[in-house]
Amino acid sequence: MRPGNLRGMADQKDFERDAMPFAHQLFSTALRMTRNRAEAEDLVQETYLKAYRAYDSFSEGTNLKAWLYRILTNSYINRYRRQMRRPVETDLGDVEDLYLYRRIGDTSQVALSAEDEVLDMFVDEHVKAALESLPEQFRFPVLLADVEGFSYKEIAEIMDVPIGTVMSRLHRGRKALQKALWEYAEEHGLRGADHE
Amino acid sequence: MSRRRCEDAVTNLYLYLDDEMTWPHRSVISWHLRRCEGCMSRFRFEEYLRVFIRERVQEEPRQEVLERLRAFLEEHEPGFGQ
Repeated sequence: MRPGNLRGMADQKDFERDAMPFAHQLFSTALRMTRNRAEAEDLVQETYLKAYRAYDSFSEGTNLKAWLYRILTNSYINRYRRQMRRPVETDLGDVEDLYLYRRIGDTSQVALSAEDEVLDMFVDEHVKAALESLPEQFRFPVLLADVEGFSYKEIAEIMDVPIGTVMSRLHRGRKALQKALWEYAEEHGLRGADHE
Repeated sequence: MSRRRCEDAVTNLYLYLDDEMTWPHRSVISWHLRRCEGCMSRFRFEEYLRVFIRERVQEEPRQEVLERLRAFLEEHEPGFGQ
């Protein structure tokens, strides 16, 4: 807290120094949200403009990254008129636990302790496509937890849904992502000779 | 290894890796993992998969995106960057 700022609110003059270092991460997430570079860039610009204008209301010392992600998520919901907070109607199907582990273990002669070799069958574009194939109610929690490292509580605040909903969607989303990855590998014949 | 302990570990795998468990339950699973090769292998795989996915889906930083963002903010908020 600086002298004369008894409420501990952030100062707009510090916005560039404090908030701009997160811009690249927000763009990366926005790209996985929108699946389109131009739209991701527009979304990040809108997020930063709103954040800059509201920066005086941000409490210093609290989680700036989470605050920016909350604005990003709200901007996405408003822009695309999404119903993120409604109960999920999409049926992901019931994917078993350890989906990928069981399949790779069943078909691979490679020891599962050599995870780096086993997972090399998946190329970047297919991992991105598999993630982007998830319905957004599941994709967002996976992105926020596994890519950005937010806790359940932080994700609940960012998405404005109960923690129980975050857990349920995150766990189901992860399993669906594993299934999508496996299906990409099968579809593109990525399971090399060594693994058959 | 008891089947019940293995089931408990797998059921709570995500809570464990997310560090979202109570300490007593977490220590029970940690104890089990040190003694069960199968569950340790499953947990290691899931943990590695998470790192692998994170690395594969992140975009390379692009300077021009940042420059356009700065220009956008300067255009709409003349005070920005002053």
